[in-house]
Amino acid sequence: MKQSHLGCLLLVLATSALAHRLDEYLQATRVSVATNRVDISIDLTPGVAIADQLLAVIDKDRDGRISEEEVAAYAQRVLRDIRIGLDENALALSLEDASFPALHEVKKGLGVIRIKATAPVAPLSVGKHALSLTNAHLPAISAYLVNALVPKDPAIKITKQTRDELQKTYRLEFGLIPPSP
Amino acid sequence: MQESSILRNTALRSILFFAVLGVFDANRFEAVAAEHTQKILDAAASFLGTLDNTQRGKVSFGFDDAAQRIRWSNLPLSMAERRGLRMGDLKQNQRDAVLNLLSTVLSKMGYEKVVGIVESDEVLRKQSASGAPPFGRDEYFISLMGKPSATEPWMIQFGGHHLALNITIAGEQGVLTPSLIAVQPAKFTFEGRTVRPMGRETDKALELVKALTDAQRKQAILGSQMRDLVLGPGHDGETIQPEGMKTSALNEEQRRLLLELIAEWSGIIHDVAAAEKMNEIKAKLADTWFAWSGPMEAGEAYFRIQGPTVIIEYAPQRLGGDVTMHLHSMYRDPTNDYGKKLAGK
Repeated sequence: MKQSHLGCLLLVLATSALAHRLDEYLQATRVSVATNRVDISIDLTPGVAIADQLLAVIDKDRDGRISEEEVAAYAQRVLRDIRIGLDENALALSLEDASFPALHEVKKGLGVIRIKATAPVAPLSVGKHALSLTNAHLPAISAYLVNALVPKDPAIKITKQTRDELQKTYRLEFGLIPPSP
Repeated sequence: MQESSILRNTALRSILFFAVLGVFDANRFEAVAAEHTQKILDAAASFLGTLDNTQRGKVSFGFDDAAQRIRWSNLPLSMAERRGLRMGDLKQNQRDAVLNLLSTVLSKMGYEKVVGIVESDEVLRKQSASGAPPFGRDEYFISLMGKPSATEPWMIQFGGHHLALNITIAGEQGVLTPSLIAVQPAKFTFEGRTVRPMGRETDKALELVKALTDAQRKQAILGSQMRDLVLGPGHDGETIQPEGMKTSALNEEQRRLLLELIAEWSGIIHDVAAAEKMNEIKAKLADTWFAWSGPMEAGEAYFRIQGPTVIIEYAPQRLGGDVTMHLHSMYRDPTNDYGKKLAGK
């Protein structure tokens, strides 16, 4: 019995490796800056080899299903693990939306958990600003991507993005140009 | 089919050749473009003519069908639904008609690349254990959005695992964005010869990064790992901040290498539309960026080319062991995905 389970697992891993993410938890974050808010959206894709490990974190009551409450609780945990600041002041992220894929997709290493959050900021002053973001969510199994979206407000000009090698820490430098006279 | 395809491409190429020499004959160019548009319409009509009413219903979608428009992915069918007609469900003459339509709407290079990607998936199918996702040349779908027309915009979608072509056509204009071009295995043997469907872009990218000066390379190389595409499926309408080095600093030879690299994506569509797109990209080359992340080895590094009207990402995948054998790429135009400019949207 144990041997057949092992055989099944090896088959799943072998066939999964051909098509999709395997042994890492990819967390891709997009940052959007406006004059009065910072929005982030995160796509989290667990690989097939770590899916059960992650589901054990999310499925708190161990009933084999992911309820809306568990999704919301997990999203809040992710947001607690993300430190974000603007000009050295910590920002408080509020959850705007979270969605969880079908369990069978997650177990195949293809499901994408999507989280959107926002933080209000005091109206930006004209001049230079810097946003910092550190993602400390499940670092032992995760790979990270962080990118800024081009601001919708043309008065905001991004000047520099810097990251550590793993993209766990990120700094976005930008400026708000004065309105034309 | 092959012969007419070759003749078509020869005629277009000679027009483009004379255009480059400066003996551009606008009237002749327009005549060839109009003739080519008619060939696309004839190929579409011929394909539709092979179908019964039920199949015609399945393959046809409204041009504004927002759900069908985004129904594409890098993933196999079992993991991401496609709609339209499945190649494996078609008779041989119907499959031939699909391929004829593709060979008409794509360049010779683009058609060969697409066939290579499909054949690589067939290799993947043969390599896979039972219980694997449905791979192989039967598992690709074609759909038409809108009615093939000489004046109104319409779309051809063709794709499956590792391939998503979204081709918008409006009269003599054609738009290939967004399209996902990927392959696994990236190198295989077919009828005794080695095939690398994404081999040229892999080699050209390496040639370009090696041709940069140390100072340019320092700017172009991002100091962080890029594990995947940033603007893959599901990220329509997003534009990320460009990074790396601005290509306005390139010398003439470096610029040539960059344009040849870009042409591996912009040149997938038929030659008339490809020439127009390349002119647009060249006109905005001063505002274009090149970024690289990873080792200076063929097929091992992520790179991105981003300008006002083009975004190309290339991302080797760790899944499957050898990153050089599993490549994903994305081709977008932030101003004109799904031909929204042609459609007046």
